[in-house]
Amino acid sequence: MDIAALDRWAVQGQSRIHRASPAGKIAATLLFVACVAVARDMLTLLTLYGVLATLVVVARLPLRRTLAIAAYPALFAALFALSQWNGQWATPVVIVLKAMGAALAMVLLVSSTPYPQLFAIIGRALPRVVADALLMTYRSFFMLLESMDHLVTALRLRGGLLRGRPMRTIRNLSIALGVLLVRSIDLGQRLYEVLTLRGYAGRFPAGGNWKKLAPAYDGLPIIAGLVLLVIAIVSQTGLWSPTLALTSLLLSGVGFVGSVVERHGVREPASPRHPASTLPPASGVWQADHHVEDEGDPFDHVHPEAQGEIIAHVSCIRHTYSDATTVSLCGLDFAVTAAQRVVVLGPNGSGKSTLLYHLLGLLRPDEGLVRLFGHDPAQHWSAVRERVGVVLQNVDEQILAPTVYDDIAFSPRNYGRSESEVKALVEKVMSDMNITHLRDKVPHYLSGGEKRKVALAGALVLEPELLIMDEPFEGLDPKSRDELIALLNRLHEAKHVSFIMTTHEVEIVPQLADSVYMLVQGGGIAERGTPRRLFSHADVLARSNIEPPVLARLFDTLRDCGLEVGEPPLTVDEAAEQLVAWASSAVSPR
Amino acid sequence: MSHIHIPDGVLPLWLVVAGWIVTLALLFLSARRLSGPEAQRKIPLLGVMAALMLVGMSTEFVPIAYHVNLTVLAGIIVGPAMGFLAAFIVDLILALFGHGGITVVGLNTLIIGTECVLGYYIFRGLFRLLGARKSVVVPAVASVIVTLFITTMMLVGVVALSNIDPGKARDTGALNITTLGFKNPFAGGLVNNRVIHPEKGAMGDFSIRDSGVNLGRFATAVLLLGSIGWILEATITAVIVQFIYRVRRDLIVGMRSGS
Repeated sequence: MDIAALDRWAVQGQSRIHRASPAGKIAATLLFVACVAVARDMLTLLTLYGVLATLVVVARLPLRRTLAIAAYPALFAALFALSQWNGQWATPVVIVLKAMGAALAMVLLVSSTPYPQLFAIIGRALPRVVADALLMTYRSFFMLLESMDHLVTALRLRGGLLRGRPMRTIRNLSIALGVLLVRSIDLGQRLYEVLTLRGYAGRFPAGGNWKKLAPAYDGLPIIAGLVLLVIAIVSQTGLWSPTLALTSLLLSGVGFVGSVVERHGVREPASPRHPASTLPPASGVWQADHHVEDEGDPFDHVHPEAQGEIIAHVSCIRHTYSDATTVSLCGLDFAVTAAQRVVVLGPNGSGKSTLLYHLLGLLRPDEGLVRLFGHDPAQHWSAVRERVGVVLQNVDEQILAPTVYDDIAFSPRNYGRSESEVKALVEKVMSDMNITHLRDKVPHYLSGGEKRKVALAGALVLEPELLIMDEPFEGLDPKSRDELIALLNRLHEAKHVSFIMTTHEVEIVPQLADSVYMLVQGGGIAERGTPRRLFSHADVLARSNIEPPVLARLFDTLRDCGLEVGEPPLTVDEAAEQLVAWASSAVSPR
Repeated sequence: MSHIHIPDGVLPLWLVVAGWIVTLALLFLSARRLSGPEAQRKIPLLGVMAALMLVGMSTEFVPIAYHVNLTVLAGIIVGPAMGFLAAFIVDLILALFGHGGITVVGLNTLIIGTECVLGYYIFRGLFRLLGARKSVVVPAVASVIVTLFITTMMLVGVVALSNIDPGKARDTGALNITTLGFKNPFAGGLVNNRVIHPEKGAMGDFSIRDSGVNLGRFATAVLLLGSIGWILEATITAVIVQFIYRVRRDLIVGMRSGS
């Protein structure tokens, strides 16, 4: 059973069957299934099977593999056929052919139509809860499948899957499923938190342009379905033989024409022009230094057009988790002003995520104060939710909808914006982030960098004043990381968005932060200040188990060697300038 | 493969439609229990549980090419109502790629959903009974075996019901285009069925000569194949439940409310 393969074929296929509308293909499939229900002889069913196989070829699907998948119910059908056994082969064969014919019709449908589009139509007939859970199942399946693949690989590498020891193998695979189940429950909890943060209000986005018909492509499968149904009905009358011969000829012709048209290609519809970006053009990695010069109070380092107003404030909070682990964040207050970029650094277990989860209202402190735009987020999230964008550590768990467009539209739709307004907002943010080309893509086939951009677009679509990001650079390659840094800084410059982000990567902090908060193991805010001030004091970093940036370590070493190189630089350019100046002074005559 | 998926085209229309009606009714009833703010919390869990069942079905237990359903496990973890909803979602997705018929999603859901519901109650009952010993293996194995036996017999019952109207085209599951209407299952055929009236024939031989069917042969094959599946499903479920009992005892619904 390979759901992933069918999903891949459906998403990546470009044939004329793939381009037919979901509604048209569902109608054709219903006709095929009706034909199965009506047919009562082998010849009709073989004709049905032959026509469907032709459509599989037209759809450019791997024929042998598709037929193998569709043959799966043959075993079960054979069991049922046993109950009808009357000494003649005709009845069991007809039963098996019926099961295989219906299965092939369904496989053709799902391997040429992305699941989300099918669910969008099927969901209309189901209770809202079930329809939404259907989409959530689809989304979760690929996450869990990937986890299971990793678990099975680990088992294999560690000798857990041995051919000669089936009982051991079964036991190990069972435990892997148990691990996956526990992770699934946690995943369910995190997905609930994401739904809450993204404003879920009983309306899940559904399948992109599933309502649109495609008359140029719908004809072939629908005509084939209609003709086959007529054959099945006529086969029960005396006109059966000549009708079958005539229609088989007709269908072969239709299949042939379809194949020829497909081989010569169908002109792609013109893609819409991308609206112009409203952000300034990317100009390489932004240099933070022109913002950060002072070593004083962090509140001085704010955007020049929006100083002073504190938008996020956390004061000495304590939270006890269900496993009795207590995290306390006392010491200094955590405060962020409008248009300020704040990075939170700290070792694992220091409470970085706890801090963010309190700001997002997902956790309620046992003690202490949390304010976001003047509200307690745990109590009044709805009052601030449209002013805050969120990017979680694992963006896979954040991207919920079936297509990129639908995912970015998730929050505005849930917040009751009109469809035209949603469209304008989504188009604009996609254009700003240069991801318009991903519009109709299925999220789980995107690269890590693209997923991160989609998650960011979803967070920015309502033009929030504050963007909260948990480890936004984790898992990104250097190029994607630099692109994301540049993008965030362009957003900050153009829209004065405030950032709060956690990270382990001290090297990028100077490029992104006006102010840094440092947490210590076991919880507690130990230090705050500009990157320049904090990174020039190795003892301060050591208290938080943080390695200084490589440039700071290099200059410390140079100083230890007796070279007078000055304060540690924050950027490569600054380091080069200092070294050139030092070299000039060293070689110049005294 | 502990559960037999009914394929398309083998059952009469009235039975297929009846299966859909009952399933949809139960579906709407179960969904109503998840309305309001509670739904927001439960939908992701429901989706993830259904996805896990699909992953279980996608995982081949090398080298015996066997896959699990995890229906009883789903019932134990999420309870009967959500288990039934998860069963429907799984059946619908399976049907979409031919793994069980699309027209019989209703009947397949009734069978798989029954596994979730019965599995939950049997496991919980046995766990309470054996509570002092705190054993989860025995309740897990027993709940799977008993549940799968019952649902396999339900399957045999479905086939028995499908043989109500002998002499019509129904013997291949075909719709009779001359009548089209539903056959009233209580109009005459059912009461003549020897499965219901064993005095007209030996219980050991389910052969119904006048309809040309042999329920006994079907039942034998299904029970034989099924029993191998039950043992494997029971073993795997027991290992998983034992693992969860050790690492996340709170996840087992029966224990939260039952002990």
